[in-house]
Amino acid sequence: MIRLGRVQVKVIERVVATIPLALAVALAAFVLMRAIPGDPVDIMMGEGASSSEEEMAALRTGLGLDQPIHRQLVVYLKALLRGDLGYSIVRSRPVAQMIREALPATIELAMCAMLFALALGIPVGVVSALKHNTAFDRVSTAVSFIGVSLPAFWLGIVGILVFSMTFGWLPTSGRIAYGMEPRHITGLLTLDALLTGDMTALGNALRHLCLPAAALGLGVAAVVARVTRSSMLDVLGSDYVLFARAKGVPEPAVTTRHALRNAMIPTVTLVGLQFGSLLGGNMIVETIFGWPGLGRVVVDAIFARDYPVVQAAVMVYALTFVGVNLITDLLYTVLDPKMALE
Amino acid sequence: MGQASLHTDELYQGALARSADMSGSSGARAGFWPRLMSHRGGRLGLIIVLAYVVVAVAAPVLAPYSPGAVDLVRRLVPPGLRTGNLLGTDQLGRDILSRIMHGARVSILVGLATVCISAFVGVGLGMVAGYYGGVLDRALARFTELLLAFPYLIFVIGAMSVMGPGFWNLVWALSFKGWVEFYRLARALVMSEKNREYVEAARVLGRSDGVILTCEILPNIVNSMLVLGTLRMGNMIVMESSLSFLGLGIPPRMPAWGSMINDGRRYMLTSPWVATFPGLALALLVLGMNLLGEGLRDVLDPKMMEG
Repeated sequence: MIRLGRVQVKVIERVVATIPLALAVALAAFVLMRAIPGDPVDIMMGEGASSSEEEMAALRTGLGLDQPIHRQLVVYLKALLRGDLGYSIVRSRPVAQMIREALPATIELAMCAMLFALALGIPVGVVSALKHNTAFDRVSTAVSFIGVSLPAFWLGIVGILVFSMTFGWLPTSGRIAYGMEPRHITGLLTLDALLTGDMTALGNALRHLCLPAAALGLGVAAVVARVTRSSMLDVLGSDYVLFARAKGVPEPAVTTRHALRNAMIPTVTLVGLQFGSLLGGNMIVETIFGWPGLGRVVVDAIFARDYPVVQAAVMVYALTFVGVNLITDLLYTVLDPKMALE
Repeated sequence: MGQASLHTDELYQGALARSADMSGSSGARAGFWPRLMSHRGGRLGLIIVLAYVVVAVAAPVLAPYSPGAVDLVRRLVPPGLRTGNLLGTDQLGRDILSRIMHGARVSILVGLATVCISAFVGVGLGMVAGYYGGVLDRALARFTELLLAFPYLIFVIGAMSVMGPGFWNLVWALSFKGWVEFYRLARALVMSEKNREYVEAARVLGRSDGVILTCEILPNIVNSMLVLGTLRMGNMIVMESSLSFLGLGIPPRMPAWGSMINDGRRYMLTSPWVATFPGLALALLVLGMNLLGEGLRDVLDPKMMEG
């Protein structure tokens, strides 16, 4: 009971600590966007547009852009505290709605990339450690080195060239073929397709996911394989593994139950860190694959000076990142109960 | 794009472990070159990086054509020895090999400048924060937390739209967050070094804090910074290419690998060489940087070498 209490206290502490951080991020996003030369009205009207000064001034008044900057900030923060993310200036739609549509796409892509990375990286890392210093170990180490060094956006382009254009096996862009979307439940198309039992949609969504997820996940897979290998090697040389072997525990059980569980601790930390950066760093892969995720929304919005969208998206990113770190910490305490007591 | 987090984490553990059982860099420095040369990965990495540096420095002499020379008659010529364009030409008839060579200058300079600025700021602040602690340390802790909560790429994209494309704009935008990793590692190392005997001894001898930090502690953490710098440089080069790919990095008149890859996207089906070769050049350089960084870490960290 006491230990559970401590974990709960830790969670509450961490959640409370994110509030000032979120406010600071909101403030920083606000300042950064106002520092970009040109306001949304300039961008909307285009250069050399025929609209008169009066029309542009009226539009600015309508959007509240003629207010002094501190007044704009107060309006923005008040709305934020009410949970109102505002309206997209360029698309005239509620920002919350745009984010609700785009975020599941980004999460789905990041999750699939992570699953790909774990499914490839953990077995390779474990086998490399078990077959330490063999040909397999050396080849997988070399390949993971190359994997870490390949930029995801270039991998994506080469993937499109090989698998979409040359062989025609996989689609080049989008999340799912037009008109095949499953009924909206979670927004994650693969999960929705599974929940509604729509296998055609599932297959189609998975085919769309293959290339972007692999392009994003390959580098992570290489990192996962390396970390798993080195922590597995550490654990296999430890006293308690020796003791388990001496007790006569069969080797497969030593590997899975005793060694792997402990060797996973660094991997879990890594997964947390990498998942955060997969969420926040995939706008280029999203751009290449025409993936309608948050990364593309925010890049488009930066170019269009769509202040409310950028501010909200940056907040969502930052909070997701902090949230993922929190979950990683908690998983850590589950895997290593000593941590909870510290 | 978060690839370096692994390196930093491993490095961090290794550096702390080392600083716990070694009290001077002189031992590690003896025989540095022979050891780096006998480290297979490190040697390969060094050769790759040196080759790129030579090509970058000598690009105006080595490149067969001017990187900006447009020849619309010879558009999208396939690679080959007989055509006179070893790696082919792009959609404007510009020689890809020449552009890759000149692009190496841009990539290496951006990487080097960013890492130098980041290391200078990060190590300086990290050492002061780690040595004195107190209000400055706490304020920096909050500030770095805030910076880390921003996705790096969004941050740099935002900053680049404030400042516009340009070489130095890109370097500043990348450095603005790049120093955090140096700061964190330097701070942690100084915190573990400052209570060691040699620092105590220097204090007893009446050395000032400034002298202790620069003459006593800095030489003991400089190896770790060197390794981190090498590994971060590969990352910075990928970031530079990503931004140039989006049209936000290096201005179009300068040849940069990222913008070359973006140009080549449209011709992927008919002329795949336009995007493929700059990508390979980028991947090989990053591979070389990573190999060199890991080699340096193994050589400068005897404890990990045994394992």
